[in-house]
Amino acid sequence: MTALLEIAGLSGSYGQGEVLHDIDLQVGAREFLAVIGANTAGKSTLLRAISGLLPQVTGRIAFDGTDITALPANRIPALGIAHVPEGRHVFPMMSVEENLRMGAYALDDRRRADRGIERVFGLFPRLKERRRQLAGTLSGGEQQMVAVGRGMMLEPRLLILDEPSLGLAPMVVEEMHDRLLEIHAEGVAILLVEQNVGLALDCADRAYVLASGRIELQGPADELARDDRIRQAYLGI
Amino acid sequence: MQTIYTLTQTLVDGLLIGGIYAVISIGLSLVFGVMHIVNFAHAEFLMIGMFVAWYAWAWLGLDPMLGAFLALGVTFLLGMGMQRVLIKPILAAPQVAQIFLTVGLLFALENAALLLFGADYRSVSTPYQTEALSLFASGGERIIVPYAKLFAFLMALGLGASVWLFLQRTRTGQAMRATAQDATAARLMGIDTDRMYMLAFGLGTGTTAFGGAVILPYITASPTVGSQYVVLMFTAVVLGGLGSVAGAVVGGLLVGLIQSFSALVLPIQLQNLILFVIFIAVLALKPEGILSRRTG
Repeated sequence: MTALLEIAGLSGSYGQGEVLHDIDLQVGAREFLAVIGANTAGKSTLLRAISGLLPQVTGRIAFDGTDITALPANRIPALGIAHVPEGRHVFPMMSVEENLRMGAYALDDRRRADRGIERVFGLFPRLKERRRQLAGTLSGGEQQMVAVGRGMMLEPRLLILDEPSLGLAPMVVEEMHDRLLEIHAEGVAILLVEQNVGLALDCADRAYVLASGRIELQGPADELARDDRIRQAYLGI
Repeated sequence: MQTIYTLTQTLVDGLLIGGIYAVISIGLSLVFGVMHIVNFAHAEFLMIGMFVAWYAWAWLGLDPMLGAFLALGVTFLLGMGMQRVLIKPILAAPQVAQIFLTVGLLFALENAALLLFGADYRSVSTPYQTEALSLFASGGERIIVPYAKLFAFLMALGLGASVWLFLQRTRTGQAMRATAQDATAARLMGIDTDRMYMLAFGLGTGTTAFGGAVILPYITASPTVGSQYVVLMFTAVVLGGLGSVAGAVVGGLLVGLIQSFSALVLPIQLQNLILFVIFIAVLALKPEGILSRRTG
């Protein structure tokens, strides 16, 4: 299997003190991959490194065979990588529809954006009702829908999600994960960072466990879900 | 008691000057909104705009209403260059460093102007300068609208509307608004935020310079002319809500109206007194500006 995203020997820092150490990680085409770990394990930093938001990176990150390690963040989306950041980061003073259209900025194609809007409204009908509302006035769950929908506007080959269930009500979390499975079923590869380990392992094909900036464990998600170390450390069973 | 004519005249005067305050404040607000930098040197670009328009008139015979477009172009490029060389390195610096830089830039620009243009007051003469529209004349009463102020107002209105349309309707304008609202998210959308910062600074300085150029027929240019406007500009922007273009327009019009109406009850030398009392009251009671909407 050739990997869609291939990370080899990746280390990175924000300036002082390395936060990622020698990471090797692959995401296959159409794969659903989860990265789990404690709060400060470096999960978000790893995602930021992929998206070009981490100032100092060594090692190699390749997407579809192309080295993207040194690419600035704004050049990454055009390759087909959509990153839904932690904390949602919607544009608060733009309407829901304007937010979604910004997601297609890198495509620069009005017709594809129009089709994307309809597809996102199919995925999240709630957003269609709220299309004219300012995103900053939405509930947390609705903002997360905007953030994921905005990512999907890019017609990505890889969708990166950072803690999409953080701070959401349990019912909304369930719905969000159903939508992620739906997106995955359409053929989009997913790289999910999630503090809700049970849910993450439930959705994913494979998972990596990150601890103190290193890969500690990896394997098929169902095997990890049965692993005693994981059960004790993250599932509390 | 004031007659209806006096009140209407006051309203017209306030709106005419308020429109100018609006367009010069849009530039300041844009720079703050996109870059979150308070540019204390911003009023100097109004002065530069006036001088560009003056030289365009003196050397090329261009009317300031046309010279304004030249001023816009020149200061747009100048602003972009300055952003690249001076502002960009301190974008992530502590606020103190930013204040030092822009205040320093204010003095540097003012003195450079003194060196280049001399301390003389420069004015233009245009055919419409001394003409005025006379409206609703009856008996001894009428409403006077000087052409110079009317043209300046209309030009300001046109540019303000263009900037607004640019921000709302164009791909680059939308990217600029996205950058202003969340720069990290903007980069994740594929927006070159460094380019947006540069464009926003150029557009901000250009807009303010345009506002300076169109008032040249009734305000004389000098290297220190910016200082007459800097406080008014900041007042307008804070009244309307920092970073909001619509807010800058409302704030600018309000400043003009408050100045104009306070001249009815107070001596003209005190025309800014009521303005600043209102300014301080807004800062104390609604510091986010009177036009701001709260978002969750």
